[in-house]
Amino acid sequence: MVYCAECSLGFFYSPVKVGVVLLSILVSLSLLYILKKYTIVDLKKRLALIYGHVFTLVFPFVFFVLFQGCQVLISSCDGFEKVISLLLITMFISLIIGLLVTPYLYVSIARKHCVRVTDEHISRFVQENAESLQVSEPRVCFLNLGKPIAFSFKYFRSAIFLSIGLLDLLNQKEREAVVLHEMYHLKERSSLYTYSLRILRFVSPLAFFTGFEKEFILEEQRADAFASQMQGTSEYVASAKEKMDKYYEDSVRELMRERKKRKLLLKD
Amino acid sequence: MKSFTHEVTYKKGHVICFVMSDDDIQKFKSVLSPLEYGALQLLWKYKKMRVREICEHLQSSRDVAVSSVAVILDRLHEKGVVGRDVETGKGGLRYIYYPLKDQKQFETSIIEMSVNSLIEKFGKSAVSYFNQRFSK
Repeated sequence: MVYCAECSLGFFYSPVKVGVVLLSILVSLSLLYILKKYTIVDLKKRLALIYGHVFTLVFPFVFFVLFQGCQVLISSCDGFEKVISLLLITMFISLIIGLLVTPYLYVSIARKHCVRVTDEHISRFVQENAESLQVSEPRVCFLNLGKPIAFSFKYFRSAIFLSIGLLDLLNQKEREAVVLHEMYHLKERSSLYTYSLRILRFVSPLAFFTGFEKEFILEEQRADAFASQMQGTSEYVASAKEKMDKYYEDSVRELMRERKKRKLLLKD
Repeated sequence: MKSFTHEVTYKKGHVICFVMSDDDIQKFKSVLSPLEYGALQLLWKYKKMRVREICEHLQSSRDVAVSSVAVILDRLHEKGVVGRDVETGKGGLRYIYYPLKDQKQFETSIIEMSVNSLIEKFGKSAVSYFNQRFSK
């Protein structure tokens, strides 16, 4: 097989393709700039900007991979029509991956850890509050994990995930505070927003420099305020957070202790 | 089977205090922290216990938080020293922990681990030393 530099680098010789890639990167940067620069309160618009940024950032890579694949299969992928069809296929694949496959994987991984048990008190509490908040009743999944974990997500049907370790740690009122916190995320659809921010952080290295961490913190603070308002006191939200923080502090300390011990044993 | 754990009352006066002897601490120092050993000792005695029950018992002899007990039980579970089941009780869902090995089996596994590690490190020298030592 003869190595052909022009074939493998052919992509970069085509002004149309390079133009498409540069345009995509430019749009991506502009969307990130708008997201960072302007205070957009509407969650839907923020989500559109996030996915727009991720999509336009991933697009050039998928486009390049498809073009290379096409070169191997058909030997020539030039011509306006071929570039347009490649563009359409790229858009379709990027959309499928971004909007359907990734959230599906996220939820199915979480569901793998779920145990088929019910907690009557929590189920009743969720049902009552879903009615009063006028949201569809979320499913409550209990994760078979010792670490205190709580999160919510909406993928066709909304669900709240609580670990058994969390229930071990908290009393009934603190558990209710956590559930209310998660119901706020579902009510405001902010679980999708925080999930999207995670994707953004994972996919886009540029987002690392834009200080999106504070977006997480703000969203969590709003959910805490909501739970405190519903309970009429911030006591349980505060004590639940304190216990969870303490758990992770202890966990790190325990890990450090074991590492230190292992090092000493190796020295011996 | 109704285990002891369901009958435990949380009055300090009724809780049996567990204090480790110096011998025990020395014996398990290389593999367990004092808190881990305290929890394990309780599990060996009562067979099945909840996090809060273990914490209540330990609190009678030292200042310990529920989170610290939960951490060490989770780590003991990861290490395969204790098992756990999800149980539905009066206060809702919770884990119930039980030891996977009794004290004797646990001690044997530590000895085995130590011997294996010595053989791994020193190879034939360790094996011939053991032969010499045990033939006496």
